[in-house]
Amino acid sequence: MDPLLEVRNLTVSYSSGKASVKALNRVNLVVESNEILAVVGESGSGKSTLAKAIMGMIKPPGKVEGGEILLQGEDILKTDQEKLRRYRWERVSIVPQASQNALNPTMRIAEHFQDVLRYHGVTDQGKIREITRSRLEEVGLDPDRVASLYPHELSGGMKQRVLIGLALVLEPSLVILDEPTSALDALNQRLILDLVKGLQRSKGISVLFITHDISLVRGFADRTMILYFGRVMEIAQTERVMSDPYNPYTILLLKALPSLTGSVEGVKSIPGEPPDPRFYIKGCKFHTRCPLAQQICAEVDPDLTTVAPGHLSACHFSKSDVLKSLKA
Amino acid sequence: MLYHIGFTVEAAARTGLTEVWSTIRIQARDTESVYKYILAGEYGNMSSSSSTGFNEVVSQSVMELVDAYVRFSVRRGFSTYHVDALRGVNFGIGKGEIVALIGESGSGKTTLGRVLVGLQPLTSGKVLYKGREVSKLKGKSYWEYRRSVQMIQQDPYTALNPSHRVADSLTAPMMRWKLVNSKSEALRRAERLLETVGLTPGSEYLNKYPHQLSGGQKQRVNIARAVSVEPELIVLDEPVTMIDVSLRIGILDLLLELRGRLGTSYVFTTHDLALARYFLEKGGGGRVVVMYAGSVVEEGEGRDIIRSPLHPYTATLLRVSAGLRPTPAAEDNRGRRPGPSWCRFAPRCPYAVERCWVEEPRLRVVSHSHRAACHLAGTLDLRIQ
Repeated sequence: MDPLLEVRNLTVSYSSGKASVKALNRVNLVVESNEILAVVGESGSGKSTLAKAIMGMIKPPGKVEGGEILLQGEDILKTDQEKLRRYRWERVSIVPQASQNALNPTMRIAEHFQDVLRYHGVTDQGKIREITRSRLEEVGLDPDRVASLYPHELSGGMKQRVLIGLALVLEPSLVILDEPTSALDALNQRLILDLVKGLQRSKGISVLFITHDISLVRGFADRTMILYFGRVMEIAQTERVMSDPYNPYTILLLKALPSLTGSVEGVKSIPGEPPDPRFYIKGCKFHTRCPLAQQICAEVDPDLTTVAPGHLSACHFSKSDVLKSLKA
Repeated sequence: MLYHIGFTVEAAARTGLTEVWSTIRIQARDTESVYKYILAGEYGNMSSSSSTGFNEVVSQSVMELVDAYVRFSVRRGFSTYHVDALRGVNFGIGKGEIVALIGESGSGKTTLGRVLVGLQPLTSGKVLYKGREVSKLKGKSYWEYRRSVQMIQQDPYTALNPSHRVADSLTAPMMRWKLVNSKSEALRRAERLLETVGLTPGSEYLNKYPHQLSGGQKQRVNIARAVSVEPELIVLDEPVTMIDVSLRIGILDLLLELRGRLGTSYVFTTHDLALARYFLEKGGGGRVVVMYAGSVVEEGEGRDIIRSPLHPYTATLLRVSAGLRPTPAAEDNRGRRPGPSWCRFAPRCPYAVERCWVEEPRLRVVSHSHRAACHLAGTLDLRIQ
């Protein structure tokens, strides 16, 4: 079966004056139908740029320098503006962070739904009410109570649910979740992720889950991709990435997470700082902080290679024994 | 046995104590010895004494909140609605102590932090610095308090003035508090401080503007600035929430190392239990205070709270942090309208009974120094396993 979304060799850069920075550097990824793919990346990884690119929203100073983004076979990057307007929300939608004022404070919740539906050609009031009601119920909110409220009258968790409902209103096949749980406490985070998973399974849609927090992907995403400085470092079934990673960045990232049980002695931050996007790094983008770095790492940027069925890693030593020493 | 004693107005009246606001923790054989000690009025004496049966005075209070209320009134058009950010909170922190303050946004933890540093006045209740009411401090003693209690905020970006170089941001407080004799002395100190927080060489970072630094580096500058005035207490308001996950532990280790050198107390606010646990354990132990909807719902030693939580909210947070499913709230709770007094957690509580909907539980001691505000505290087995 053909994948729902295919990103091929995507390179996106931002320029300011004479300097140009690659936010995404020959990125390849595939999202199958009916699956949840997590994209884990810290600051400077390019994850927000990836979301924007898939939504067809890269504008100056951003520029797509190369590659293709195929949704059900059609290249988004070669689609005209008018078609893109229809593409957005009907085939791909995005759930932004609730904390980022994505809801209009002067409009009631029902009006938000009405707004989106009208913009996409649904004008019958009865239909609008019906869709609004279904979407709100689906996300666990009581339409009789919530539809007439203003955003400031809702809690953070409720606002996030509304944003999820809005993203599903035109029944897209792909929903991008952009850090949907920051600013929510651990309990609400879990509930929101459970909600999304339930909806994904029941509707058979695909979800691209963008996050900086790898600890959220377990029990949620089917597959996980690790992004660092615009390059894909590793991609595999979530459980494999979490318990048997093949990339030094992933290994060190997992070691930097404290847990509730387990020793506090083994937890360590990754040395150094995330790279300054203004300065080009030759070779592997992680080599400046990698304990396994060799000469080749400073010269050749490794491509993704298969290390196990369905498991890819971009590292010159991904199949070597030295990785084991890092895991200890 | 370690006792943490908070004196309230009533206790002071009964025992006739004069310096009533200290909270101290003492080592004693048993509670009887503690009471003898209180009645003897010797708590002000820092040296050990065997006459009243106690071994050692552990720490004296730096700050106390007594029955603190903060109410925000918001006007929308013609109506006003109230948000009770803090509802009757009692809180204390001793010298060199670490307290992890756990809660979601809206729990009151940030407001509590702001009250401690003097940025937020109370609607009612008392704030005490070293036993003296902050609202009654004047002149030198007031400014002494303001220098002594510092804050490091969540957002490293907004905490620094973008038009000031690092050198200016660091030397300004030292000059303002007259901790140095000249600008050049301040600069030398600033350079050393930068290296202490891991920004080496310090001279290079002095000349940078905030936009030239990463989030983690900015936060280190904020930490350098906070410790430059030699505070006794630093309120860390979610200090690593906006920092990359791979760098958080480094920042926490730095904070603990600085505390090791300076003996500073920390109030560490977070919603991440795993981080709180790391911080407390690496720091040699400390208390956890769990807040929900403006009040303290559980309080105790970190180890006790994690091993055997007493409040269903704490247990839920622990379950979720451990990657387990949260226990769902009782079904018949949906849309239930509470009475004039009720437990704020009841709508989400898996164990709520009738009483929870009509009477707000008070914080009470369940086992030594472990307190919870729950009608069922002590009767539920909330351990994670």
